[in-house]
Amino acid sequence: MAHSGRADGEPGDIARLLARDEDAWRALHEREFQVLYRFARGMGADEHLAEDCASEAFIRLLRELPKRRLDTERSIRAWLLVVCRNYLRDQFRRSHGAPAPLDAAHAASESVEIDPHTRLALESALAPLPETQREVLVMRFMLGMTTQQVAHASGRGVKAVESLQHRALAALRRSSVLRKEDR
Amino acid sequence: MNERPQQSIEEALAGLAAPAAEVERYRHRSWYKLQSALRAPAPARRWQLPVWRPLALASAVAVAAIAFFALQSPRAVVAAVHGEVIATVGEQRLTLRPGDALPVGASITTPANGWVALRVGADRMSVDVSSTLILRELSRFPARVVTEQVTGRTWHVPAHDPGRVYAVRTDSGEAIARGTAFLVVTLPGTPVEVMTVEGTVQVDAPAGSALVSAGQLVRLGAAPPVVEDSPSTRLDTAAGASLIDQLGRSCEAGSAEMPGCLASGNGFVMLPNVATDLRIKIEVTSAGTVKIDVDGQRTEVSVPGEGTFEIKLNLRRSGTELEVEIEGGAERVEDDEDDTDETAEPSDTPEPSDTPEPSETPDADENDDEDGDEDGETPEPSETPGADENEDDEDADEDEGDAEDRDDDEDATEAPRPSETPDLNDDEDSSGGREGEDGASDEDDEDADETPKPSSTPRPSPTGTAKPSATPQATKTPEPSDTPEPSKTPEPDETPDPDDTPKPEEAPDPDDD
Repeated sequence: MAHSGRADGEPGDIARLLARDEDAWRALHEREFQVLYRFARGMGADEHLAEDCASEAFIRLLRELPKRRLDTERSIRAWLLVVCRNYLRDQFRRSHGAPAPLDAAHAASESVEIDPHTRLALESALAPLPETQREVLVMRFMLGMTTQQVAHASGRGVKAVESLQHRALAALRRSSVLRKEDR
Repeated sequence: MNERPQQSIEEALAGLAAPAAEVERYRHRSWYKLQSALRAPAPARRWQLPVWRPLALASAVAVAAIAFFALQSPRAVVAAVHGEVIATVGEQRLTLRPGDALPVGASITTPANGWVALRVGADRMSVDVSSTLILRELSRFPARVVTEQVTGRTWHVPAHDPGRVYAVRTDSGEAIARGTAFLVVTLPGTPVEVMTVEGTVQVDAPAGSALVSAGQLVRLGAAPPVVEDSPSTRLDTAAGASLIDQLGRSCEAGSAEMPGCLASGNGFVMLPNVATDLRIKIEVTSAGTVKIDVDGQRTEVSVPGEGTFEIKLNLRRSGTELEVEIEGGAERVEDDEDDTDETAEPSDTPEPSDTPEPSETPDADENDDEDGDEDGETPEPSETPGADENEDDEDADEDEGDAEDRDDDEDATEAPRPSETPDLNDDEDSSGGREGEDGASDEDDEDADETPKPSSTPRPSPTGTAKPSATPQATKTPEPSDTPEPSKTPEPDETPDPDDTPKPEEAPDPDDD
């Protein structure tokens, strides 16, 4: 699933957000919640944690928007993702120290059909990946963001994102779980 | 195949994304949370101090502080003081100590045996014995230092700054410095004199103005001021030598500065008859001779070996004639002696022939003060018996005959001046109130007790300086009015040579000169 995301911000929308216009916030929430939720889920959060993560990011945006120079939709999304990632990191650190594998029972994307065994193997292969590599894979393939969008959202360079993506995919290919699945 | 095609992994990853139904379900819950936060009253915007505001505030405070100190009147700071020098600030009278800061309006009065050196920024001024100076203006913007000299003698070395005003006012006129060193003398009954050692002084008087250059003097009176030559004395000697007057002041830009004297190269330039009884202090590394050149009169004094030596020197100028007398040879002194010590050193003890004449004793001044007789002359520093304060008792004991005279002199020095010391019986007050000097005076007291003199004047008496046979009043307790008539005192320029000083047996007749 692809998220185009407007590159240019709309000053009118930002002004309405600053004025705490409910419609503007609703539109923003509808557009960005799925990104945050799926990002959290892709990073290993369960539904509740993913929902908390997204909600926390929005509420924090509501509080911080007047103080920050978030004048484009892209910068808002990047900021929300950073908040969500940090929130998850804190939660994982408090709970058990590592992101959990994806909840296969609830993970059922309607856009791409994959068999349950492959899903399970892929989820198991994702779990041991470093957070940075997993984050790139989630943004690139689960959220459908371009390399540049990932670079902007994660605060890294495009080359660094491409490198992380390359190493993450290579790691998945080397994964014994997936090889076993192939056989 | 061993490896799954990359496209397959990417597609599989996309398939792992949370389904839309699940997202929608939790989106509503999230929206409710956000909506309640939106509907909650917006938190009052906390006033946050931007980073630049504290900086601006600190800068403003710093600027204000600098402006405050810059606009605040500078103060005259006491660099050195000797004797009981009184400063009157409004209703307050205080005895000056080094480091005291005097504001505008302070009136400084020195006793017959005391002086004070002041600093106003880079300006130096010394108020000599028996003088009164009032600080009239002290300001930085505009830069002005104006003093009023009531009486006595003051020495001024203002900083070289053409954009500022440094002036000394007197009853007869005003001396405005133009980056120079000059002496102002206002003695009762004589015209105000302004003598310049260095640079030029502009003198403005009601009768006219004049520029007084180095080596000149001007007398201010009813007539227009006429500039006269005032040949200063140049004394050259070995490098590193110090020239010290009878009160322990040095001819150097230090805390205790000898009025009318400036260090110049390896020598010194002095105004005539300002300081007459001097000491040259010099440190030598081997036996040899010290060459002394006073206005071309060359003398050599031999020194026996390594160490610090002092050579006593008496200078008397009468008109164009200068008489130079070297007293004895070089005397070895302790290396750690402080040249600028406020107390006179034992070597200052006057020889019997130097015993001040009755007219030179402070009594004459007291008489002047009390009688208001303006004919009296304030004794010059070299004549002031203040240097006798710390006379060495051992030396005094060596010669009983001399000791008698000296004790009398000490009493004279310690005797409180009625106009300055309310408690006549207070010996401590009479010695200036300093610990060291108090100690000295105590010793003197003991010495005086050990050697009672039939004719010695009781200590509290303000006129105890008179020698028994030198003054007609010596055999009775002298009253202030019993002191010799100040009109008989010699003029400063007519100071008799020490050798000409009448012996105690002789009747004092200062007019013999």
